[in-house]
Amino acid sequence: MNSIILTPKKITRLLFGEQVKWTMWFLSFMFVIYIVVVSLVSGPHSSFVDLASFSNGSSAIYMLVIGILTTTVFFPYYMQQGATRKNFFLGTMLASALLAITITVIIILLSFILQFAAGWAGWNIHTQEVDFTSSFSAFIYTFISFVISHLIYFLIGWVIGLTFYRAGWLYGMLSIAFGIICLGITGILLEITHISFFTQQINLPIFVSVPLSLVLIVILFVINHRLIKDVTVKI
Amino acid sequence: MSYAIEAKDVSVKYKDFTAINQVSFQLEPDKIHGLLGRNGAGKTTLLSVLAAFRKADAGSLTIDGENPFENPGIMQNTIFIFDQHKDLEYSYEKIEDTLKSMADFRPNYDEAYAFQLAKKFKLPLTKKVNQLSKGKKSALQAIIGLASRAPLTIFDEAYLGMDAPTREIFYKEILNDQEEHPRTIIFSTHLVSETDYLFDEVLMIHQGKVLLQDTNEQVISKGFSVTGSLKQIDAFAKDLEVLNSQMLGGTKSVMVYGELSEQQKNAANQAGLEVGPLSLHDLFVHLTKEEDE
Repeated sequence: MNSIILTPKKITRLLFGEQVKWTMWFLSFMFVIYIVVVSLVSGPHSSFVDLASFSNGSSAIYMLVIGILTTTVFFPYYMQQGATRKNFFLGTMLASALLAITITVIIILLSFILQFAAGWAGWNIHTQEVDFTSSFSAFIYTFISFVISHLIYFLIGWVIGLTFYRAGWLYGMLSIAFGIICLGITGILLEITHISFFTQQINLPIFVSVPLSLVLIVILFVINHRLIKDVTVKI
Repeated sequence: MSYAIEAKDVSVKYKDFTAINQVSFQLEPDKIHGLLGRNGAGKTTLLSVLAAFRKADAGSLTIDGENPFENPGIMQNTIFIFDQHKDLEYSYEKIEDTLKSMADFRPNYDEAYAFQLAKKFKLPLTKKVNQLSKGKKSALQAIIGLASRAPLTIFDEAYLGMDAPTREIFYKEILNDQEEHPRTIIFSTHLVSETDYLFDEVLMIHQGKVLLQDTNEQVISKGFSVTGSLKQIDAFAKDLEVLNSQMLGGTKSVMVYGELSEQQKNAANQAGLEVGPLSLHDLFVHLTKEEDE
């Protein structure tokens, strides 16, 4: 009897490696577009959002897409290589958390670099949209919010992709509605998300909003686990 | 290492349609099992259950004495090669990288053997997987299936798109590698005439049921063709299970299923009837014939 070689840890490593490759492409495109746009519109009387808030919309959507692709691309592949659903689930769980952290770190690093570059090139970049430079606690809050919102977008994508795969288009459409509701809730909980049903922010204190977001994350993980644990692999 | 398989009353339903209906069989280890069945007979559904791609709705299935579903040890040692390549369409990896990466997944994978096979199948190693033709994609899959040396190796119409010479290479390699590294191979096909020499045992399914299971020799020994004059044949075959009959002028030829007793053989000889063997292909075609055909 051989020992198990497709462990959750190994699946995490392989998945994360692949996703980081994709992410580098995505972030490079985003960065180039950003630079082009900023240098075109920038002038003494124009201003533009900073990279952190500019990218948050697109990088969150990117996570949603990766979440959907988890079921259409990665899941059948790993099943064909002899992984169990459970180990794939655990591997994806870890890889998605790592990816959310990685994207956040890269975007924040790029934002710092841009601020320096803006000072040097004389671009007028709004830094008020997302505050991560005023104090250490503001930085930590922004960092955590970024990671959480990226992870939630990923998990919603995963739920939608899995529901379509498992239960067909009708339930799939319902899962999209469910996803929008989840994003609405995230909008209440975290300032930086872009979908909100309320024009006025309800400013929840951090010690309420962060734990509640974590609860939402756990719920989404549980839903995905329920959907994947005995799903039929289509061929 | 090689797996024994036991299925007891396994059923799979799709809504109102029963794809597999209380199927029971045993597959011995170290053998090549031919799984024969017509389109829609339930072959792929059955194999999906074996590969733990789906749960059976009823019955029990054990591989090496264990339930394969979500069983990490059994699943990493079971490889299921099927005739569709949806995944490969989106693989932008080079073939050599794909062949190398398989070592990450399969405990018994032999990379050197995989490259040796790639040479035999004339796969361009530096080409990207998605650029391969249909037949070459099948060859790539076949290579992975062979080189993984999984204790349970399933080929489901895995030759799709391969030309005849390539199929020959594939069949030969199955036999060669099986001799050195015995495992349980299930080879599902409806191209019976060109693959019958591969099988140690035959499992024939029809409309979700097991039609017969036996060693290849036993199955073949149960089929005869008897040729003679119309009258003689009608008299001879009246108590036999006739699968098919053909007439040409006053001569009639029937395909018979079942063993002939010594007495019957003698009677046939004395009457001057010509008794010949039936091929697995003939048996397959006529045993799975439906009433309106």
